[in-house]
Amino acid sequence: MSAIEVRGARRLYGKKAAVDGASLNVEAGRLTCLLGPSGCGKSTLLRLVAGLEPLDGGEIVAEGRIVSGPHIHIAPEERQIGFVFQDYALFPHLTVAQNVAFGLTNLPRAQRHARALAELERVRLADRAGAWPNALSGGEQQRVALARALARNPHAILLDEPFSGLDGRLKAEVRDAALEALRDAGAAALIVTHDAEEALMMADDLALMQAGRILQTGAPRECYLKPASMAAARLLGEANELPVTRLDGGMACTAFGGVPGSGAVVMARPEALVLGGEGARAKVTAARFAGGYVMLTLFADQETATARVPVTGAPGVGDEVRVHLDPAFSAVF
Amino acid sequence: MTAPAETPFGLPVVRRNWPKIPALRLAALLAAALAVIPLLAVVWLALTRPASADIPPELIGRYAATTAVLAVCVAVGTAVLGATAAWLVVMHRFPGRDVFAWALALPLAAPAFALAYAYADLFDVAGPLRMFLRATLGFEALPFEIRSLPGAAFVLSCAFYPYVYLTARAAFVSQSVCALEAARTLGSSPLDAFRRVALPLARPALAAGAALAVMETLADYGAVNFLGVQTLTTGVVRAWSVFGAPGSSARLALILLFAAAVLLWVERLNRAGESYGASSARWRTLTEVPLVGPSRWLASGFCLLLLIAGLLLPAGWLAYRALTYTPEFDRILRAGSVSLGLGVGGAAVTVVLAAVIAFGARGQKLAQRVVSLGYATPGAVMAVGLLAPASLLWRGGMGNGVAMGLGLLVFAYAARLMAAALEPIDAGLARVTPSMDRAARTLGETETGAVRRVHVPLARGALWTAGLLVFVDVMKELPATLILRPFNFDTLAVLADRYASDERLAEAAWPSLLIVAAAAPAVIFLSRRVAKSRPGG
Repeated sequence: MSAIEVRGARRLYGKKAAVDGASLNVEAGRLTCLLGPSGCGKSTLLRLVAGLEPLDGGEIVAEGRIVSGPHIHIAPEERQIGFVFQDYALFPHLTVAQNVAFGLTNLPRAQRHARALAELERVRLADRAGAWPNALSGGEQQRVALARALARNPHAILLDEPFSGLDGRLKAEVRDAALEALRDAGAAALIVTHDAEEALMMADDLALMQAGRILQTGAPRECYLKPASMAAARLLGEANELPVTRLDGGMACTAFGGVPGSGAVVMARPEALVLGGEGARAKVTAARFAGGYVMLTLFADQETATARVPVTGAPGVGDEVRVHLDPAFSAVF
Repeated sequence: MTAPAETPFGLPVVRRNWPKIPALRLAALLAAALAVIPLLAVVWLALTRPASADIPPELIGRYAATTAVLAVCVAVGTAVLGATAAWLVVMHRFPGRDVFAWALALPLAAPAFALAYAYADLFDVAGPLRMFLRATLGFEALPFEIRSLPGAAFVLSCAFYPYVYLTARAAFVSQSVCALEAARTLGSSPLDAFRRVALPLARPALAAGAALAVMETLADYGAVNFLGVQTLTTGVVRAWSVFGAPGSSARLALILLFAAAVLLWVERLNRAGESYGASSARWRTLTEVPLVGPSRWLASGFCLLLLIAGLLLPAGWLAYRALTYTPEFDRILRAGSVSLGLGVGGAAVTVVLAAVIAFGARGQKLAQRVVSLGYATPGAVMAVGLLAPASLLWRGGMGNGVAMGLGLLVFAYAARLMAAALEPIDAGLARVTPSMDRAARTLGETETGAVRRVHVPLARGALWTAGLLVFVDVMKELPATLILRPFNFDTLAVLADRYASDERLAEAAWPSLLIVAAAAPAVIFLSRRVAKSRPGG
């Protein structure tokens, strides 16, 4: 049984559907990332699961119980689902420990503080228990928000762009600490993000969302290498869309070479375009140096494609090269 | 261009060489000083005039105690009524909500003394309400006496709750909805979330609003005097008008001045805490809770009751009484034109002075504090403070009496209300960010040109708002006008007070209602503007 099952959820704002028939499973003890561009409805979906907004169609099941559905709306406070807000939403009138203890009203007063301290210990902030939220750094605030949500032992926890407010190096540090705390707590976690790299690194399960719908779910690796559609492929990184010119002996051929399969279009990651050997002829029209590699713009048969090649031996603008496609980084639709 | 200066690291840095405008800054400080002159005069009077036996110390103690009890009652009353109304209106949907959102501020158009006249008459022993209840029930059903301390607390709470309503409303609207939603996901019911999150977050605003209500309570003369409650302010006016003892008057005023300073401190302290609300930069449309079943009518009923108690019932009753009587039209007409003239003149002078402070002393706390102290000071105290310098001029045979009397009156209004005008102007100017200033400069404008082409257009709406605020307050002002007005120059408020003190209620109703009629459009305009401005959306 999944910790959370979303079945065909719909949410309308006026006539526009923010979430348009999305379905998704979040498994207990696993970390699911919901990845999509801004405005695709992923935050709305999260709010629907938490019960912060009513559902206009479909249903949401948590721990085998329908919490949102036709004529059913369990109030957010009765769902046992934790939520970490993008801006953390710490209560500025309460200390860090009081923030964490906020949801522990079911415990006797004496135990609340001890419990809050234990939660803070988990995110290594026990020494800041008496501090006011505005005295904390962004990363610390984020950890307090996480501890506050976990303190109630929710069976699932939802995180809305939890690391978007943090910068560079701090982000990686905070992320590692947060993931550790999440795994330690063992709750099902659903993290919304628009950062593909972050999603690929963190997720046990990945869900790709666009225009209110879920495009694909699966392991990050599988989603990256075997995308279900061109749109899904684009969400996870740069992808060349190459029209198939002919089908030949089980191969779908394009201006830059062929891959096994049949269809109208080949999706090729930049690293799928490999230079050298006996491949198709192409001309380099632009070359951008990017540290460890070079991004080349290749032109062949009225088609352009981007290739990612090692710095050493990279051709220059105007050079004629031979290119073929690596099927491991390609897909045919 | 000034020469490049040498930094410790030897890098040349071009010093800012924008022309300072000392003239504007000086003018700002002078304008602010206007507000303190009367206050300093009060202190000087209180300390130098010999103590006379006209008001014995125990009486002063009784005045102070009565004032304190009244202030506490009004603070609690307005806080509960105002906060409840604001919470209902901001977070819920119920019949009439959109109208109540602005209409609940309407009692600001009615002077407190008008409410006092109406309620005293309605609840009178021989009044219609008691007669009716006695006839139907057969016994005395209303033990409540309006001409008493609790009665005055009731009347003033009805009159002044909009101060809390407006500040609380602004606070609730600006609160991060995330905080409320966070409370919900942490197991709080909507009511719990209100009690444990929204209310504590709005506490500074509530305290600030209640402080404003208490300031008005301290300043009120017409209502408490009519209801027979002896406060420090009635003491100030009496000591001067009945006993002709400026020293005693000033000593009473000094206590009020101290109370005003304390209130101001409370208000400022809590304003500083308002940065609470700003901790979250993200806004989301408020998800209003649609009330269903009986609770929606309860919410409507509460708001309607508040509006009835604060304006409709007293104004309606006064109108009913007024219609039974043919007024002295020429007298009322003359008072009306005096009121209107003073209102417009007072507003113009006050807004100009406030604008000078706003433009000239931007970011300078001192000028604003000084001006705020003027606002917290009751009008009667301001008037007593102005009498001393006035009498000096008078003895010097300066000018004609009427012109100087009117001048002093406008001075008193400006000294008292500059802060009220300054606030919206400052808020308007807050929209001018430093980079806008710099953008104007890099586009070739001089500093004064930037003020003219960027600051003034952006603050124009705020200037009108400020003017309307001052106009409404001047129309309702009684004690300072009573003390300072030249002989035979009655305003509507003074006229109402004179009729009322002769128990000629039907006649007092006319000028009272005219004040409401003149102030109401301004209050409606202001309130609707505030109600429309919601962040996020």
